[in-house]
Amino acid sequence: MLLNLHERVSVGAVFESSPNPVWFSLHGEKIVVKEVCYRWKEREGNDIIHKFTITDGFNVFELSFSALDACWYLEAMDEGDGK
Amino acid sequence: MILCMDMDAFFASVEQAANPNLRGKPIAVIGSRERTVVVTCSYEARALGVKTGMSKYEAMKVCPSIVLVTTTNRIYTHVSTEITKFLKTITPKVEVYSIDEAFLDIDEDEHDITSIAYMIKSHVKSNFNITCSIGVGPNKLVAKMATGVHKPDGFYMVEPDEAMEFMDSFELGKIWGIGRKLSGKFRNMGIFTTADVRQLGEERLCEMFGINGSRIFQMAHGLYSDSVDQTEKPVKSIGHSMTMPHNLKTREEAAGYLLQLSEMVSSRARRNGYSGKTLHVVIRDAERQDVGKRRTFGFFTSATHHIYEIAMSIFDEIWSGEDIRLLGVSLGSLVPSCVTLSNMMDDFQGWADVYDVIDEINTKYGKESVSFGTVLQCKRRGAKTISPAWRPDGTRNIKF
Repeated sequence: MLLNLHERVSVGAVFESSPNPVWFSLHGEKIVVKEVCYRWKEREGNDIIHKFTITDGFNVFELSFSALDACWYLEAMDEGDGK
Repeated sequence: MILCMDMDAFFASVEQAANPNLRGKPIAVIGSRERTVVVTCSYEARALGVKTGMSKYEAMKVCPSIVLVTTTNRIYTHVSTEITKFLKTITPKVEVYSIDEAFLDIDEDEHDITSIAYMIKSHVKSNFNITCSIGVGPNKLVAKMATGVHKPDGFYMVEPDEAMEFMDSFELGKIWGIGRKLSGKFRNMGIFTTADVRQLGEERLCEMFGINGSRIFQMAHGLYSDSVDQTEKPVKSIGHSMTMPHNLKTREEAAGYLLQLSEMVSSRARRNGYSGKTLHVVIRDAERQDVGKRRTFGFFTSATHHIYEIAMSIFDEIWSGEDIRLLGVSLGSLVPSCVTLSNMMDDFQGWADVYDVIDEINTKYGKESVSFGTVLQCKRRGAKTISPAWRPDGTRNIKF
């Protein structure tokens, strides 16, 4: 089931030409990104939001990074039994 | 030669690529959580009988295991825009036909067209993890028909001297540009293929269909005169419609949505520099019967308050009190490079400044950061479905 969250989270990321999330913390637990499944960009006014779907091997998460305020958000989580 | 690239089940494929939990499953992409139709579905769902245009309830009946996914338009528009950018690195002669289809005019003397086709397929697969089908032919018609031959993930090329024979392999109703109505007309005359059309002769076709008769005759020979057009055709109207999350029963409820639609139309007209002087309003009732009316008014406008006022006046004329399923507003008789935001009939003469501030704030902070208060009462806000006319830029570009 898909859970919409939009929670601010701490993310460890490598910034090359674009940010690449490596891990993030959710309720004190460190979740390591096993695979970045998809990445795309959205424009919100002057801000560019980098969006990612990632998996830790069990669940699928959607992360976003706002280029303007340099914050990461956990947008949604899919626990795997459909969306 | 013309190359036609057609994405395979585009929205569904993107959803499956973005979410590994959906891969290999029958999924249907729907416009919203509330009542809506299947916009597209995965090949797994198609194999189980789900079709585009079914209501979500019909889809669930045909395929109880179907996973319903609401559209995430911003991913589709991003992927489409990025693919278009890539296509334009191959040739500037790219016509974006829809969000998931494009034509390229490739000079055969300069490029190996088969290599280009496989390069595009490889780029799409490696960058977006989705597939496309490519057809190549001497013109857009043949190329478009060729994309369907080995779909999905297919490639098919038709040489110019094979075009007529290739067209003969299709039923008339399956041919691009020959609609259901026209093919039904032909069927009633015992005409089922392009070979039958050729036998009928151009003169007879022109008697029956006027200028279109010649065009159909040409198509039956595998010929097509329209070239790849990379320029944006001028728009004839700017319109938006919205299926309601629940049937509307009162004028007040409808007014909120009509204001929202008027602002969507006005905002696009302002952004692209258009004014219009006809307005068309359509109401679809619970039985899916449409009633609409067009009105020409004595001035050009791009302003929400003008559009809304006229829309409400048309609405009051045509609404008979039935439950409302869908509302649509469209501004026509457009003139370019002309944004008209107020006129001498307005009681308040500061509208132009108001719209300038609205547009400035929305440009800085994002779409609909500022809008009309009445719109807040609408349960559904903003465009949910992508029109086939969507383009990566220009007037047909709608921001999601």
